[in-house]
Amino acid sequence: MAEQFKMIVEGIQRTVYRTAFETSLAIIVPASTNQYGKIIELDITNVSSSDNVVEVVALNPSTRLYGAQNSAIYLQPQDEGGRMQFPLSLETAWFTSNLSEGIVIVADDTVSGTTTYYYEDG
Amino acid sequence: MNGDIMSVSNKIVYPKSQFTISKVTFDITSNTEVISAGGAGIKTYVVAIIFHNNDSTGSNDTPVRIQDGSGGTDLYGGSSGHIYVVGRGGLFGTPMSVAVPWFESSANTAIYLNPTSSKRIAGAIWYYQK
Repeated sequence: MAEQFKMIVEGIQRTVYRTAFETSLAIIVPASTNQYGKIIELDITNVSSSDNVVEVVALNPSTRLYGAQNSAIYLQPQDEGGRMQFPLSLETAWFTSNLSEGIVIVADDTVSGTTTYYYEDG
Repeated sequence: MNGDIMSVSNKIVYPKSQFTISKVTFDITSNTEVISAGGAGIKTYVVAIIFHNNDSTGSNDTPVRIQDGSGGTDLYGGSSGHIYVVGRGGLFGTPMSVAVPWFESSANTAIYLNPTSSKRIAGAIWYYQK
C-alpha cells in the first residue's frame, strides 16, 4: 500500500504516492482510468551479489522509459554500491505512463527501492 | 586552489507553462546529435541528464563529452570537458533542475554526446527549447 502525501508539484497541489518495493518484477505505478501516472522519484538499489539489469517499462504499448533499444540499467553488485537514483523532482516528472496504464520495473535479479508518483488527468 | 572555477548565469523562466519539457533517450557508441537544433534564435536548455556505461565488455571506463554542436564547446565538465563513467554499471546523473538549467546550447545549435573512447553509453536527457 502506497503512502499518500499532499505536495505542490509543478505548481499544483497534488496527492502523491510513495511506495517501496523489493522484487525482480513489480508494478511501481498502478494504472488509473483516464489518467497518466507520473514518476517524480525513483531510487533502485541492487540487492543481488551479481551484476543486475533493470528496466523501467510503460505498459500498453510496452515502452522502455530510460535508455533506448537494448539498453537497460546496469547495476553493479550490492557490495559495489549498485544504485540508480532519479531524485525527487517537484518541478516536472521523470517518466510518464501511457493513458490509463501502469509502469512496471523488471530486473534480472532482486532490487529494492522506492518510487514516488502522482496522477494527472488525461 | 586546484582545478577550474566556472561561473554560469542563467535566466530563470517561470511559470513553466511557458515551455514544455521533452525527453530524449539514447544508446550510442560514437559522437551523436542527441537534441536537434531548435531553429533560428532558439536555444536548448538541459534540465537533467542521466546516462550509464553500457559497454558489453564491462571493464572499460568511458570518457564522455557533452558539446555545443559537433566537436563544439564542452557544455559540462572542467577544462578537459570530460565526464568519466566507470565500467559497466557506471552512472552519471543530475537532479532535475528546471528553474536553473544545467547548461544551454548556442542558438539554433544541436547538442552532441561524444563517448570519446567509442564505448557504449545509454541514457536520457530532459530539456526545453526557447
